[in-house]
Amino acid sequence: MHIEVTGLVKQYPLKAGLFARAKDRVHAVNGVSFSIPRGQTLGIVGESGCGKTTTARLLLRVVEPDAGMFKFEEVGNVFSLPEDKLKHVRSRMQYIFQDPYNSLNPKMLVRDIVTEPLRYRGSSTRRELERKAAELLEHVGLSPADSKKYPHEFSGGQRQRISIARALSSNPSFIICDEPVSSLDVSIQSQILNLLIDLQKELGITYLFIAHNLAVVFYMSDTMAVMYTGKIVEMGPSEELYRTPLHPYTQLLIKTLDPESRKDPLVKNDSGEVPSLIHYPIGCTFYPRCPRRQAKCLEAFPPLEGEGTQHQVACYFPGWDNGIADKR
Amino acid sequence: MNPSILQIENLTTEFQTVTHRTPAVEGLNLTLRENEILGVAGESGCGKSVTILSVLRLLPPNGAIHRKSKILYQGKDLTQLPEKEMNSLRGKDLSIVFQEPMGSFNPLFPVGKQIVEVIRTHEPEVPVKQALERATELFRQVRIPHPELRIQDYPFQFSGGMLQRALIALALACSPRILFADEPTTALDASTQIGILDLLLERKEATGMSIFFVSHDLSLLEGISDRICVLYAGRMVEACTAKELHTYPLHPYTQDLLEAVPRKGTFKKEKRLYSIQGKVPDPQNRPIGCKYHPRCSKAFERCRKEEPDLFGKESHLVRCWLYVDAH
Amino acid sequence: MKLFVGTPLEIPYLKFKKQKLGVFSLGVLLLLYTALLFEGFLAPYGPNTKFRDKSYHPPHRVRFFKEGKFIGPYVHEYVLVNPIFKSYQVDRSKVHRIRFFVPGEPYKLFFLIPSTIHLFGTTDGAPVFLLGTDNLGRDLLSRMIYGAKISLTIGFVSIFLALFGGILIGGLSGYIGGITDWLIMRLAEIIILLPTFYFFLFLRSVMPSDISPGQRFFYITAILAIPSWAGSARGIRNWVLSLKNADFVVAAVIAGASKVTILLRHIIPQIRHILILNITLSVPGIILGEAGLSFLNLGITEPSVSWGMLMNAAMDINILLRYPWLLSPAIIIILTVFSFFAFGYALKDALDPRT
Repeated sequence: MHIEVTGLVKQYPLKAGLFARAKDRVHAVNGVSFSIPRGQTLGIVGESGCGKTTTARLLLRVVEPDAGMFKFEEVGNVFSLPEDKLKHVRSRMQYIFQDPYNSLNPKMLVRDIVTEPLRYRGSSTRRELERKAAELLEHVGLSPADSKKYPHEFSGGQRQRISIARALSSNPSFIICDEPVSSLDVSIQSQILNLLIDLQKELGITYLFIAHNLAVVFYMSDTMAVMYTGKIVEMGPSEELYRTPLHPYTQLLIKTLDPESRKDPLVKNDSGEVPSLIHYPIGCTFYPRCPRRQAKCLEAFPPLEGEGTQHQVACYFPGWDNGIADKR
Repeated sequence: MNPSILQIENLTTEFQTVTHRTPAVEGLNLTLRENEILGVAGESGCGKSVTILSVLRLLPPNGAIHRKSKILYQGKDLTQLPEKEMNSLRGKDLSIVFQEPMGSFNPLFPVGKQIVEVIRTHEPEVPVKQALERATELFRQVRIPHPELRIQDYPFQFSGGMLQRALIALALACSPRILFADEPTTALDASTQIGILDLLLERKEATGMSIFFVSHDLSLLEGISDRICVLYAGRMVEACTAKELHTYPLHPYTQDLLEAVPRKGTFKKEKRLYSIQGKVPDPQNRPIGCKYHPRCSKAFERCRKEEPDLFGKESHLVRCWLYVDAH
Repeated sequence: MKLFVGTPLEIPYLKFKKQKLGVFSLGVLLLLYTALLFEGFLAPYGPNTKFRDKSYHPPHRVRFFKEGKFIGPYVHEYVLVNPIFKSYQVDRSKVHRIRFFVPGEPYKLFFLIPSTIHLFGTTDGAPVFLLGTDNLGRDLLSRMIYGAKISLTIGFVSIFLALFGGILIGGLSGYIGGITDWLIMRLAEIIILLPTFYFFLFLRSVMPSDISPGQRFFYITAILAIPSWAGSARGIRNWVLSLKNADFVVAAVIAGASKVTILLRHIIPQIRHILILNITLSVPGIILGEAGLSFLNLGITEPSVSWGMLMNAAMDINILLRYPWLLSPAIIIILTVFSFFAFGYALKDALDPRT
């Protein structure tokens, strides 16, 4: 296992004023665990507010987690590293942002943007950096001449390529892709996705691929995790999840892939209401929307388990549904 | 075929920037029929949002509709209408739902009150109590639970999906004949999207209104529209029924668009994603000849020089040299 | 709907060009600052050159025609008739021609090259006072030209001090956050709340009194900088707060940048134009502050010269009524301040993406 995350928790306190004690908390991430083999892609899918972006930021310690362990390569726990060692580890992990317009410093030359991760680590001469920039840009399908331009001279898709070039500059073994194509035009999305796949094949990079577009996540991932209210409710190999989704939420999401599905009663009657992350309910958080809810579901949140298979689900009554999945 | 209710003829809308004038949409010809959902598909820079703003005359100060353009509604040319008359049409006959519900409501007033305001602006004889009842009924129609309580809530108390339903309620308050929807579901999660689309369909059937539905998601439009027209770089490149678009897309752009999106049930192990090379042209830098030719895998000499007209029969029009017998 | 033509630099430039008043003011300012370099050349006399018998001499009237004939610019001699009330009478017999590029008092051109050529002067060495003299017989025009040096530069030096402090303190305050941020902001707010001029007076009162003019300049500059510092610090801190979580800043953190690097390399460049605006619109305030202090004899004092100091001579209304030309420094102060504001607001409109 290249990446092993266990028990990730993050709760944001809601403060009123400087000295008021924090009473309420936003339970953004509540015990997330997963692992990724080297060179493979784990996709995380979920709707807005489910905690997927927070999870991504926690891994790189852009935000500090409240609890959890992150085993990465030879490092036992990235979360307990001191600042200076963290800097070194960060060069092995990188991040691609969703918004191509906000993730590049508008006042910096592209050349400086893509080599920034190199610049703070050890001394490379100006010439070396220029050469490296040209190399990186070509690698992502741009031209070396682009290194002397500013971000605003490029389109959204090209900017994402620049972002990817920047992520590659420090030779990372792990890249977190946070909704990398959601802000792009449809006709460009596949260009970028293909680029990411090619890079993975060539360099053996492990990806954590986050998106809310189910079809894209299915396509890109080897393994997939479905998140809801800060927890993983189902996880397993993508194809299997697609063929036999077990959690009612996953089943709902898959149904929405098909526009004709609006006639389906499951979709039609769905209230779409997500419980508050502040007053986090006891028991299964999907209860209000679940077509097969029972009293048992209110006792405690079902554990994520898979009976020895790779396919895990957090539900007391998984699988059973009107026609879409195998019966137990 | 239903009679037409809105006719856009030769619409050209230009924007004046510091240095020059750019046409956002050029020579657009569209017909919207009664009780029909027209899907308008396209990506950024194609002019679909500008079209809506032009019809409703909501363009920013530096935008102007060309003199030769005509927008006919009920026999009147909307481009020539005095502002006062236009105002009485907006919100009543012609209503609009935008992409961002948060930006469409005043955060300082309860949502119900804002609906009442719209009703009473167009129908001043309606007393407040009755208007409030109508608002509650509208909330019920858009399937907001506990409507009588919710109309007293402020916009921030609604979730994204619920607020969009409230926005639709607002748009439907005075029973419009045409509803303009500009990416109404793009900002919402997939599970809520379906509900909203369903709602729009239901309301269309119940009231007989027409919907001018703009979106970049072609598959979404296929699911909800009667007819679809595809815009690219300010021009309409194809127009036909939704069914035909699904089975016989003619224009290379339409075909590419349908191909390039990962469809459900495809995985990277199986096949590589089809991708369209190049990028959507800047409004200032549109190519000569056919606007799509730099990216088109089927382009030939004529495409580079001359821009084709719309060819074909009424039920299926396409702007492409491939379908013309001339050489 | 964003239709964007031209680079971020081109658009403001073009917009600015359209504002006639702004362009004109810029021209005026450039002229004034260039004149600084040529102070010795432009001024007919030195800043402290006294003409003992020409105290409170009114401005010479430059004539061009004598008995109908054009003979070029010249002035008559003015003779002191009343030594107590200092009134003069024109002596039409004596004629002093004025020529350009005339030799006169020695000075250093561009502060380096010794020279004696002045822009204009009389051919026979007789004094010519275009703006009259003060009580010690010093040419007001010359003193105004030399005074420009202090009055025009004190604004900039002061502002740069303020900005430097503002960026460092405000920037780090915003970035570090927490208690540090809270304390620094409250301090800045207190300074802002205090009435500026009284604050100047207070700081001035704790300034040591027996110091050289050079030190004095430094102290006054520092005093004038402090209130501006507080304003800048707050503004910059707010910008840092809003940019702190921008994606590209997060990317820089991931890349391994230190807090200071992020501040200087990523955040400050985004607000460059605001800083320039800040400077342009703050300078006139400093100029007026200095003028005010010097007017009260609390700022720049003898033997240095500044416009505010010149105004001090006009403090007594009786003197002013009798010798009104003493008010001329006020006109140049107003012109400068107005030009800064006109240019600054034109710049602001040009940079504003909404107009």
